[in-house]
Formats: sequence, structure tokens, C-alpha cells
Amino acid sequence: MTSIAVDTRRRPAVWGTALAVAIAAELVYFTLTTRHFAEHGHGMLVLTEQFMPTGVLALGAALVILTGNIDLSSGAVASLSAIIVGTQLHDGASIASAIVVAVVVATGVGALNGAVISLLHIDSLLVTLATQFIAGSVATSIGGENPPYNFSRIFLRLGTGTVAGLPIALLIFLVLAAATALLVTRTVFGRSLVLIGYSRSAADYSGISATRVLMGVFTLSGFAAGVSGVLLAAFYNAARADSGTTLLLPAITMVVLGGVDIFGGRGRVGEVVLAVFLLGFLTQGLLIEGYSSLTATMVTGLLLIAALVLKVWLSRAPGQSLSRAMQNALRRRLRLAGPS
Amino acid sequence: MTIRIGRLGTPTKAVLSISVVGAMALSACSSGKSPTSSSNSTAATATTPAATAASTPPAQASTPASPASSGGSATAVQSGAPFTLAIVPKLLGLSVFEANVKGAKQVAPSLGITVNYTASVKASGADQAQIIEGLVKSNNPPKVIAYSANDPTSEVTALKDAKAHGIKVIGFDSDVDPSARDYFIQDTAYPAMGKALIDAVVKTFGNKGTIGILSSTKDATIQNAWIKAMSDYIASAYPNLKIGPIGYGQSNQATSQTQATNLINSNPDLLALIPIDGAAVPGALAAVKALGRAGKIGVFGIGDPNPNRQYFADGSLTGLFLWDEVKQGELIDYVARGDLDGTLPAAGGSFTAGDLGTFTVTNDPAPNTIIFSEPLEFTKDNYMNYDF
Repeated sequence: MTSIAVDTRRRPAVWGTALAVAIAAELVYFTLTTRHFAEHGHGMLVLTEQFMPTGVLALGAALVILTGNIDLSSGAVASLSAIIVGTQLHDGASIASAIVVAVVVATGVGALNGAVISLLHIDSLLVTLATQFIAGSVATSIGGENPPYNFSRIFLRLGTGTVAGLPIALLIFLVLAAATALLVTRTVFGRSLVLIGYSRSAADYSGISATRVLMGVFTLSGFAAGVSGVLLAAFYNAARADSGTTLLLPAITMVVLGGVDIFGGRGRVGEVVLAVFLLGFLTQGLLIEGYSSLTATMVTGLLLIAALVLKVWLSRAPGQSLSRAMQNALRRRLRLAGPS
Repeated sequence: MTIRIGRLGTPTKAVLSISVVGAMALSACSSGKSPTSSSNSTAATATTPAATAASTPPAQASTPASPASSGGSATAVQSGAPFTLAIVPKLLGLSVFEANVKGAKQVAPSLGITVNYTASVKASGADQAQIIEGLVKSNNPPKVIAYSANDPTSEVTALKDAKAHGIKVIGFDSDVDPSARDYFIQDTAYPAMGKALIDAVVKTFGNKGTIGILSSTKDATIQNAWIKAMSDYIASAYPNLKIGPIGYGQSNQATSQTQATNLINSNPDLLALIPIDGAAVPGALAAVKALGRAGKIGVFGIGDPNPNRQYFADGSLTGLFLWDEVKQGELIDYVARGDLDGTLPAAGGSFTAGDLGTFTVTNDPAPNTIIFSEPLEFTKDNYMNYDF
């Protein structure tokens, strides 16, 4: 089994190094130019709370994209989870049971996605587009005219509390990130999902049950969306039917910036984690610098394009020109995307 | 509450003028302590144009809203040490907010204010909260933040954080939980808007039939308050009118048009459509035109005149209500200045804001609310006088 994933394991961590250098550069820059950015390291850590819901969503999205699929529903499922945990808390449920119900429902939607995609062989883009609408509508109707807000202090600690100076949301993200990385690199399931993304037919010929793997991957994406929704509700002290939907595109951006091939088969979870911090700190830092969100979104777009070009350049063969490397990448893409 | 409905339910000049006098008396007594909400809502609703015309209360400068200053002891907001005011509306690029900012920038120099206009590119409460956090942590944080909230809850944590850092927080247009801000400038009193819309329908199309309301989303706070105001007013004043099922256009023009078409087709006795959201107005107009019912079914909306100029011209839009957004922007400056200097009165008191006139701070519908204006009606005859 180990031999099938050689492609991911042999590649040196050039991209990860590039991301780490970029993070270091932006942290130094913002610390020097903005008084309240670092605040002895503490401010920087607290800032992470703002993008941890997106980060958790990105972990689920990374798994899905590694298989060459996409989950458009995860943002709406996060909203649904936030609304459910909120209404449960308002109805007097204990914090633990409210969270369990929300995450179980979200995981269930993920499993439903996986079942329809893998059993009925419908494209994931279409299926999750549909479940996105369903999850969003259900969230809106459960939320009703007065979506829940104002939760107990203990629950809010999930979003804004700290343990030994570390934000709890950050700790949750890091634990989930480590689990995701181990899952992809150290388990048969993980290596199978990468192979499915790299070449579906190769996976089929190796006796991998794509049905089971895809079911698992989309279920995990639903689980991540569920956790993300709970963190959202705890961070904003409010649940809204639209609170998760705006996280979807930033999360996918983080995955792609983290070097995961949008067609699947290549990428490292560790690098996605770095991209979460790179993009998260960039957005927060620019806002603190006084740039408008217009600038922040524009810079994000430019960064993404620059990163994609840089990635091709870094992975080119020795002595190869950039344009030649681009052509090769395109050729590989066409071969992969074509009928297999 | 029942008292209010009862009073409004008898729209005769005599009763209205009595209620104005009563309101003046009540608020005059209440200087110094918070008036009860019932006396207050009477004060807010009684000074409609009709009531003013009937009873001619003491001249109150040019303020349309000027509900009875308590004994003429209104404090005047004056200029002082320069400061920065950050205006954070729901999102960038909406003409009504641009008009607010235009007004704010006009009077800013005279009050020692520098206006910093910033907002998200998306209408998202979460994004808005991040913008506010960014302002709080910036090198030169503003002294005052004025927000128009995307939703009543998502921004609360960020705004409370701003207050904890000594930043004064005021709201306009769309409020959050009152604990997160000092003052809130409400566009117009909800009952007054409800009454103005229904009266406009009745004036042209009679008082018998169904009215179709097109709102944005089910949980839109302000829209729901307007719907309630219209229902309350109809229940008390026009028993033969009824409100049909409410269409929700999700702030999307195409969805609004579908919803409006459904309302028209399923209610043969429909007198008028009342779209009360920016996207619902063009949606309703498109539906009425597509079904060839322009002019036969009234369209009375809440919205700004600029995007609707062509519809006034072709006669399909029979009335549009809003308030003067530019002047509201000016009021934001006065409230910011007064809040920062501590010169604004507690609930029950009033203050003067330069040429805008006198305003009263009330606890109705929410604590420390300043009602900006009576509804301003745009018709085919006056829309060209406004630019927003």
C-alpha cells in the first residue's frame, strides 16, 4: 500500500518552506508597523480566534479536494450546525449535548453527500450545490425570525477562551489538523483518498473501494463543518443562517494556497495548515493596518495567483523555463481531467 | 400598547390633536426621568404630518421628527477637540450609505470631525465584526464608531470590545443589542412608516381588498417591525383591508419578482404591493409590468429614489418612502460629537443638532434611541430633488 503514494512522500517540502517564510515575513511586518498586532505575542494568538472556524472548514475541504472532489455545502452546513447548537442551548440543553447534536447532524449531512456522490455516481459539485441550498434553508427555518444569540459564558469559552494563554479554538484546530495529517499520511484510508484523487482508475485497479473512501471523506467534511459551526456560534455569541456561508471560499482558497492540487492527488495537510495562518493573519493584519476589506480581498486574490505561478516555477525541472513548466502542468492537467 | 392602537384607530382630527397635546404634556412631565414606553410611543406616532397640520403644535425648527422637546431646555451639540469618527455601514457601495457618508462629511469640518468610511465588501455580520476589531486594534483607533449592523447579534462582541477600549459606539439605520452601544439613530418611527404606507395605498386604491407585502428575509428585524406596524394600523383603522401572505425575496431582485408574481396571481383582490427592501422594489415593479398590471396595482415601496427614477417616470411606481439619507448622515456627526463630549441627554431629554433641529432621546422601541425623521414620501413630482 505504501508504494502507491510515492508521489506525495518523495516531494521535498519546498512549498511548506515558502509558506513558512511568507508567514514569518508578514508577522514581522505587521508587528513592526502596527502597535496592537503582536502585543507580546499574546495579541497575535488571540487574532487566530477570528479565523479558526475557517481553518477547521479548510481541513475538511482539503480531504475532499485531495480526492479530486469539492464540497460546496460545508459553509452552509457550518451555519446549520451553529443554528442547531444555538437553538439547543436556548431550549435548555446541556452544552455537551447541544454540541453533540449539532455535530452529529452536520456529520449526517456530510454522510448524505458522500452516499449520493459515491453510490449514484453524481458529480460532487452538483450534489453539494444542492445540499448547500438544503442546509441553508433548513438553517434559516430553524433559526426563524429571531436566530439564537447570547449563550452561556462556558460555551463562549470555546470561541474566545484561553488555556495557559492559548486560545481554545486554536487548540481545537491544531488537534484536528494533526489528526487530519496523520489520517492522510499514516493510514490506508488516507493514502487511498490521495490515490483516488491522483488517478481514479489506478485506485479502482488496486482494489480500493472508492465508494467507501468517498463516503468517509465527505462524512469527515461534514464533521469539520459541524465543529466549525460550533466555533462560529461560540466566537460571535450568535448563530445566523448565513454565518458559515461566507467561510466557504476563504477555506477553499486556503486549501489551494496550501498547495493542494484542485484536481486532487497532490498536497500536504501540513502545508494547508500553514496557508490557514498565512491567509488568516494577512486578512486580520491588513484590517488592523487600516486597509479596507476591499484591499484585503484584492490582496488575497493577488496572493493566490502569485502562489499558483510560484508553485509551478518551484516544481519545474532543473533548467526548465517557467513557460515550459506551465505548458507541462497544463498537459498533465488535460490528461488527468480527460476521460479515463 | 392597546392604548396606542386605540388612539390610532380613530383617525379623526380631534382625537389626533388631543393625543398630540397629551404627548406634549406627558413628555413635559417626564423631563429628568425616563418616560414610560407607552407615553413615548404616543409622542413618536402622534406627530405625523396629518396631526401636525390639524393641531399646529409649537414651531419646532425644521426638524421633521422633533417630538416635543421637554420644556425647551435642549442642549446644543457644539464643536470641540478634533477626533476621528469611523462609519461602518453594512457593506461598501450601497447608495443610501454613500448618501449618509456624504452628509457626514459635509458637516464634519464644522464639528472637528474626520470621517473614516470603511466597511466590508460583503453584507455579512461576521465580516463587519472583523472590520470593527481591526479598527479597535489599529494604530490610531477612532474615538467614535458608528455602525449600521448587518444583523443584531454578530457584531455585539466586537462593539463591546470597542467600548472596553474607550471607544464610543453609536448605531444608525440597523441596531444591535442596546448593551453594545451608547445611542442609536433610528431612521423613522416604525408605526409612522406603517401608517404612511397604508394611508398612501388607501388614498389612491381604496380601503377594501388585499395588500401584498414583499420583504427580504424572515429574520430581518426592521422589515418585521414595519410589517407589524402595518398590520397593527390596518387592524385598527381599516377593517376591510387585509394583508396577504408575506413574500420573502431574500434581498434578490429575481426572487422578489417571483414572489411578487405569486402574490398577484393568488390574490385577485390585490390593491397594492408594498416592497420593503431595496431589491424587492424593482422586483415588484418588474412583476407588475410583466403581468400588464402597471397602474392598476399600486406599488408603494420603501427605498431610495435614485435606482427607481425610470419607474416614477413611467408611472408604475406609485409611491416611495424613506428619509433624507444625507441629513441622517449629518445627524450621525452630531450624535458622535455629543456622545464623545458627554453632552447628549439621557432618555427623555432633547438636544439640538445645528440646522437639523431638535431631537429627543427616547427608550422606545429600544433604550437611548433617537428617532431621526418622519417618513419622507417620494412621488413622481418630487423625486428629482433628491440624489441618493
